[in-house]
Amino acid sequence: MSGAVVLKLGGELLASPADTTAVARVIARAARKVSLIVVHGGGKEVDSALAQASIPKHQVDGLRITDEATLQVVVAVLAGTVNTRFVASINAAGGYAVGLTAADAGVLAVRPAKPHRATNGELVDLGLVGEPVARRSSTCCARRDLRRSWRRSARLATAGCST
Amino acid sequence: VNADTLAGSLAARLKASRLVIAGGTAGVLDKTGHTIGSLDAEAMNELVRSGTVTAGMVAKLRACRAALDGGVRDVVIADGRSGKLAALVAGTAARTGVWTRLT
Repeated sequence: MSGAVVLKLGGELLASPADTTAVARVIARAARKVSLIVVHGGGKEVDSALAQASIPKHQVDGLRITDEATLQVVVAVLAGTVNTRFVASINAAGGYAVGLTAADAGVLAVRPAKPHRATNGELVDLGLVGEPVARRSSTCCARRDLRRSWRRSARLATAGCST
Repeated sequence: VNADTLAGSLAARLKASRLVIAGGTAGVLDKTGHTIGSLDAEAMNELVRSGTVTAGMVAKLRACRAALDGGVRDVVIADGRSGKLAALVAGTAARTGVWTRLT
């Protein structure tokens, strides 16, 4: 046990600036007592950025189908706008947070996601979507690197992900 | 990567003591809209099989299962808007009908 707590926040908890500030305060306070890793989405903001860029949104069972143009927007919005704004809120509330994505060293190894079996039975390719590499194929070295990476980087990290 | 999937995977790989998936609903709801207090693997599979839970919740449940399989002992899906977020992170939230514990 590392004693760390992983907190995933749904986008609805960060919908307004006031909501974000309130959540950031809770997180900044909680991180004084425990090592806290916060994972956030940001699907609604991705949707509005896609609409602005006139890129159609494709989903199956609530899962996003991501093509090259969509991925560019997803990265810009989640790793750029949403993550940076949230990290800034936490730090403004007295926290000590650093923003990471799964692309950062040691955070998470992924492979292309397997096609999704839709509720109608159809197999749907989700496109440029990753899934974590299964635990059994991760080596002890990868786990050690991950822990070391977290220790070095921060007590409190936020990771932006597509939802 | 789906954010719930990543959270479950990170919790497992970091051997976290707790995973809290906080959203806008009061944990996992049954067919009548009531919060389920506790869910084991079998009950979870049944919810998915019967279509009681939607795709977004299926991803959350799978993330919780990955964390549990990875040795995380305290795994909850909770309403993060209930003013209970701090207590959920600290693991001191009372059973209030706003969260579901996965076992």
